[in-house]
This record gives sequence, C-alpha cells and structure tokens, in this order.
Amino acid sequence: MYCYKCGVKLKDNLKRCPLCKTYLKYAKNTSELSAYSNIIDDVGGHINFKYISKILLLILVLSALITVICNYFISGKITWSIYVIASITYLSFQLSFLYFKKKLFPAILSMIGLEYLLFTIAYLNNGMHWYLYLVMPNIFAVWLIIVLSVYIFKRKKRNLMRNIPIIFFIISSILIVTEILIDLYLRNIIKLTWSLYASIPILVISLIFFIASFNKHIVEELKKRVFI
Amino acid sequence: MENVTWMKLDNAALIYPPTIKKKYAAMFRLTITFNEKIDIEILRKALANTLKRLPSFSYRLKKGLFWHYFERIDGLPPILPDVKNPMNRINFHENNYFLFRVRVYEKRLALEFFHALTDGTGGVTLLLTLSREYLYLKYNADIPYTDKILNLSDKPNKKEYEDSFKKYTGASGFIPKERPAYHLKGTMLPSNMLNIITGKIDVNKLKELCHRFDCTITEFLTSIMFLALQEIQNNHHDKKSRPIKISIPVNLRRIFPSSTLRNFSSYVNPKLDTSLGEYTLEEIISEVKSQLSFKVNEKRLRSKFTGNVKAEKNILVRIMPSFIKKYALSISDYLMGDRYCTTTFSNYGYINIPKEMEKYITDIGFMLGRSRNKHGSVGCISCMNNLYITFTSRIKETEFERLFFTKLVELGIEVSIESNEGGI
Repeated sequence: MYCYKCGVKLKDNLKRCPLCKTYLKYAKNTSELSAYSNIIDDVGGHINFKYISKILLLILVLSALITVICNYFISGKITWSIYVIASITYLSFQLSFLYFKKKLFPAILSMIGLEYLLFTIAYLNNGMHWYLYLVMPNIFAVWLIIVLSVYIFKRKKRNLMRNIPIIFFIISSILIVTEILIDLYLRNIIKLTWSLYASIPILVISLIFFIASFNKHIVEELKKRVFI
Repeated sequence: MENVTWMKLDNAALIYPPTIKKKYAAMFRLTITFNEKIDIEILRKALANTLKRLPSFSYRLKKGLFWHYFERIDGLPPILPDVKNPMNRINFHENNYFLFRVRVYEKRLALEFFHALTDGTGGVTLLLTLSREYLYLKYNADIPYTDKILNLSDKPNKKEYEDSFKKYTGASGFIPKERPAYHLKGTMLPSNMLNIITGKIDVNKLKELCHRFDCTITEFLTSIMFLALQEIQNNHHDKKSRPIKISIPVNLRRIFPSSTLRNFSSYVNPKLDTSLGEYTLEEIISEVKSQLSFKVNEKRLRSKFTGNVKAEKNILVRIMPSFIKKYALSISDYLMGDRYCTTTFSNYGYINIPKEMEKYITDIGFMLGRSRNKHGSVGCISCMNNLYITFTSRIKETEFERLFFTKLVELGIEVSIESNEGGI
C-alpha cells in the first residue's frame, strides 16, 4: 500500500502514514506483525510529589512536637513555641501546592495559612486592632489580585488589549480599598485622596482600551501603527 | 585478555559517562531480523560463546577518584523482550551491569549499546559474530568468517582492545571552533519515547542516482537532508538563520589501520549557510563534497583527535576529582556537542554478509538514541542490496522525515516506510 500524499510504500495494516499522518482509507486488517512490539519501556524517574509532600509534612509535625516538648520542659508552660507552631502550620499549608494538582485550593489554603500566622503574632502581642483593620483585609486584597491575574492570563484565548485593562481595573480598586482601610484605621472617616489621583487616570485609560478591544478595526489600526 | 581486570576509557568514551542522566544516556542500536522466530535458549548459549571470544563487551562502568574505568565482569546480560520505545538509558543493575542490552521481538534480535563501550564497528562485529554462532547452533549453518564475523575458536586478540586514539596521536592538535547551528523545534514527546521512522531503499537505484550527481551515497543523502532542512527553515521563516549543520561521524579505522572494537571514530560538521540564499540540490552536493574532502583527511582528523587527547592529558584536567570533572565534562558537552549540529547522520556503510548467511536474514538496522540537546539523529546501514535509513526524533512533528523521503520519491526512488508510531 502506498501513501497517496507522500508516495512512500507502507505496510497494508497501517491506519495512518507515519510521515504525513494522513488516515489511510485502504488499510486492511492483515495478520502481519507490526514493526515494533507494543510493550512500553518505563524508565522510571517520575517524581512522586504526593509522597514527598507527605514526608515533608511528617518532618514538620515532628519538629513542631519536639519544639513544644522542649518549651514545656524548659519553661514549665508553652510560651515561645506557639510562634514556631504557627510558622510550621503556615509551611504545612504551603505544602498543599505539591500535594494537589489543581492549584486553586492550595492558593486558598496558603492565604488562610498566612492570615493565621499573622493572627497568632498579633494576638500574642496585643495587636488585634491593626491586624483586623489593616493586615487581614490587605492580605486578602493582594491575594485576590494575584489569583485573578493568574486566572485571566492562564486562559487559552489571550487578548492582551482586554486583559491588561482588567488587571489595571483590579489594581485601582485595590488602591481605593487600601486607602479606605487606612482612613478607617487612623481617623474613622473616609476621605479619598491619593488613591483617586492614581486610579482615575488608570481607570479611564483602561476603560478606553477595554472598549476599543472589541472593535476589530481599531485593534488592526493600533497593531499597524505601533508594531515593533 | 582474560587477565585484564580493568581498562581505562578511551578518549572518545570519556564524554559519555558524565552525561548520563536519570532518563538519558548516549545509546545506539543494531538489529538483525532472521527468517524464523528466535529461540531464546539457543541465543543465550550463542551469547555465552560469543562473549568468551569478545571479552571487551563484558565490562561494567565504575567510578574512580579521578576518572571512570571499566571493570571486567562475568555472566551474561539478560535477554529482554523488545519494546516500542527502545534505547532508553540502561539500568545497569537490572542488566547484570553489562553496558549493552539484548532484546528480542519475534524474529528480530536487537543490541543496544552504551556508546562509551564501543562504536558502530565494534557493535556490528558483536552482532554478526553472535548471529553466526546462533545460526550455527540452530541450523548447523557453516558460515565463513570475515573481518566482522570472528572465529570463536580464536583467542581474543590484544589489538581488539587497544585505545587507537593514543596510538595515532600526533605532535600537535587543535579543536576547531564552531558556530551554533540551526535547531528544529517541535512538540516534545514523553521523555521515554522516541519517534522512529525507517526507510528501506534499493542500493542499486540509489547508486545510479549518485552516479548521475557524481557523488557518494553519504554525500547524496546528506545533501537531501540539507535540502529538507533548508525548506523547513524557509517554511518557518526563521529569521535568525543560523547555518544548518549535519554532524557526520567518521570511522577512523578507514584512515588509521586499527582492529580495535572500542571507540575509534571522529566526526565532521559540514554546514550550509542559508543566510546567503537558497541552494539547489546540485549546489548543495558540490558544497558537501568540497567540505567533506577538505575535512576528512588524515592530517585534519589526526589534529582533531590529538587536540582531544591533549585536553585529556592536561594535568589540570587529570587532577580534578571525578565528582567535579563530571560537571565540567557535562557542561562542555552541552556547550560543544549538540549545539553545533542540526542533526547527526551516521552512515555505517555496506556490510558484506556471506552468501551462506543471506538466506537466514531478511534485514538489518542501525539507529542512534535520544539526543541530548537537538531534535534527533539519523542512522544508516546497508546490506543485501538494501539501504536502511532510520530517523530517531524526540519531537512529534515529522516534517524533516517527510520532506527527506518525499524528495527521494520525487527523484524516482521507491521508499518503504516502517515506524514505531511513537509520535502518533
């Protein structure tokens, strides 16, 4: 049998031409042996991330236990080891990136882990007011912007002219939220100043680009004039 | 030879052990297909008899304080079933520490060698001597001995184990400087898979064509490869336009008489500077011919391997502990090996098989293993009026192979294709 595209001679039972990948209409089911065996040699060497993360978790838990025991025997009660436990808990939450294939759940866990670590530090140092009003909402805001940006840029259909304005929009809204939080913390009155100076121009330009990105003619014109 | 319990690695072999990675080792594979299904027990017996005559294959690789070395081992390598994805790195422990692997698939016997052990000539000698012994034990076939089919009743010759690089080292040598070459890009296959495509061509028809273009088969096939690669570079509008280079191993035994079964080969890298414009087949052939005749001669080849031997003899290199040397050699291979060639085209040439043996054999094959930093390589061998050219590639796309074979078809040569369908 010949491949009608490449002109090379092939075995009668081949379903696709190995050269041009064309499906061969006249393939026959003959008893002819295939050129190679069907056994696949597995060279191994795959990294088992689940196993590694379990081992690391075990090491972390053990070291936490040892710290608590040492602390108890030295001071008679648990004092400084709380910091160590909080840090180890934070690290264990980070290990979820190795354990899970999909990264959204580990991302949520790592945010919770960081909040928890800072909560412990604030609680032990009587700093709950700055934690609740400044740190916690800001960490959440930064986390949100990272997750949204990754999601937007990971999409298969990439459209820079549409994505970049969205990211700028998120950034400017976070600037406003940050200023609100700081105002509430310092003065209990919301009076927006610097965040507006920064975000209004960004918002306007982003909005123009965002709307323009739907117009093919404008996109082409821009490409034509500003290509590098 | 029986008393030689250890050997130093030859000059060409030195580069291979440091480049071994979890999933990579420099390998090549030789196959022979018999008329009938292989009897494993007889093959095992034949292998035991053959290794007594060719003890240079019964060595394992060990690490010394400064260099790797070969240590003599007893026993036999296991006879394994053949696979769809050959030439993966040998697991030395599972292979009884042998540096070559024996595989069988129905009628086909395959030997896969780690390149530090031997080169194509040594491999073909083992394959043919083993095949003769197998045929003798199975059919009582009386096949005459040749330079590649050794008599098992002879004693191993000392010259078969010599390091011929050291023997022919000249007074001065230098390693020529090169420019990085154009590389093919594509979708990578899984790290344990190679896409293998073999084309079978009538040697006589090819010879006629070569006669028309007034060149040798190697020159002609290299030129067709250049033509295919030039077309790919044009199709992809590669603006960098690095020169296309094909690395061609040269069997030094043809120039420097030697009967060693260890490595004794060098290479030349003919190139095509496509930034100067598009070449026709005739222009490429004349380029390749002139470059090969300029580079393949006694003086240039001697100076090249003398340069390598001198580098090996350098006192600073010698006193470097092997765990540091490993990284130094691996980096130098990365910088100077595959970077300088688009592909490798190793043409073993024509094997003269005695007429008494021909009736038991249907075909023969030669292929190179996974490349470290380029898309793939090409191996070629001919016997019994057929030429077998095998493309091995670690990318899914088969544009290079397709263009190469369709160009031969356009020139009126019939090509039969076989594949492991690794890329489908």
